[in-house]
Amino acid sequence: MLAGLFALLVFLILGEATQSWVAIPVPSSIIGMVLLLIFIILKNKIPQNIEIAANKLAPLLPLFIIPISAGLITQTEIIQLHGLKLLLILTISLIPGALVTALVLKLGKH
Amino acid sequence: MLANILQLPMTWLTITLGAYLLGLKLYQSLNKASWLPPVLSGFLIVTFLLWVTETPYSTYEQGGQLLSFFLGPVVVGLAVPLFHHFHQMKKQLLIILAAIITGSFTTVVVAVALTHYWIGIDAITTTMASKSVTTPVAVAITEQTQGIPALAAAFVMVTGIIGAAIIPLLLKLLKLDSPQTTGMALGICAHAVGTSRAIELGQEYAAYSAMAMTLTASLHAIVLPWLL
Repeated sequence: MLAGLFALLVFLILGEATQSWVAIPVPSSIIGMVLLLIFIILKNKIPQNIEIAANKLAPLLPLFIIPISAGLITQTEIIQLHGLKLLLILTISLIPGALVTALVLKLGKH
Repeated sequence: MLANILQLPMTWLTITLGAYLLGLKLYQSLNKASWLPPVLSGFLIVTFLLWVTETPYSTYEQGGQLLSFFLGPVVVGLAVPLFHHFHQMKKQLLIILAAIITGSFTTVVVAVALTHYWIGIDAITTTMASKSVTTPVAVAITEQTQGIPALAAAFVMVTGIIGAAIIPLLLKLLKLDSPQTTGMALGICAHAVGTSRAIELGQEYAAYSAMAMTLTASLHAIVLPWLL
């Protein structure tokens, strides 16, 4: 578990280093993920330590998200002014997204 | 004395952990109801306590950031399921990628356009662009694009809950329902909450949903920052 976590952190730092070196706007954690993916593809096998750490961390995601979500308490003005509109936008925009996904898959089958 | 304790990072770390555990218990006792994921109940409990005790978010954050820190390694770890999915979906990769690109960008473009015309505040519009990806990635994108991370987390949560509720119904109604179509639509439009709904629908639904969620997140994280 710890060896895997160590490896994930090393790739995170590599992502950070790549980002500041190449100056691309992609989040450093995503660059770290891509680097790890390349590493795994080159090895054609997921190192066991890394798999264990990733599988242990993933289910805890809701816990890790709570502090950032709680930051919403600093955005009450936006919620009061635009909350209803935002709720509508989030709901409406789901429909074309789901339809296009399903139709493309249906058409691609034929 | 209580006032002193409420200043400690340790206190808020403990409260967050407790709120999550309580939320998890609630979720399990409600038969894993997708309208009340532990992140929502945990968030409600924590914000309620912050509000009652009049604790500024900056004080809370000192404890909370110990947990937020783990979002980085979690995102890096997404390479693991991504590698598995690539292997499983090799044969249909092209059509799957086509569905993910068209489907996910459709929902984002509609949302961004509506936000731009109805609300017209740039920071909100920018934040809206990351609404279709799983929270840790959405937060990373908004930090990169000068959006509002907390708002992004809220958008993602709301999208996930509504999507998990309406997408299976919508596609069934239009006779477009299959493990592949519904599974992928859930993963693309409702990410993690959608995937937990897909798990209820069946294993095949869940596999497609998890794959679509991971691919959408990585694709958007790479493409969006250049456009915003």
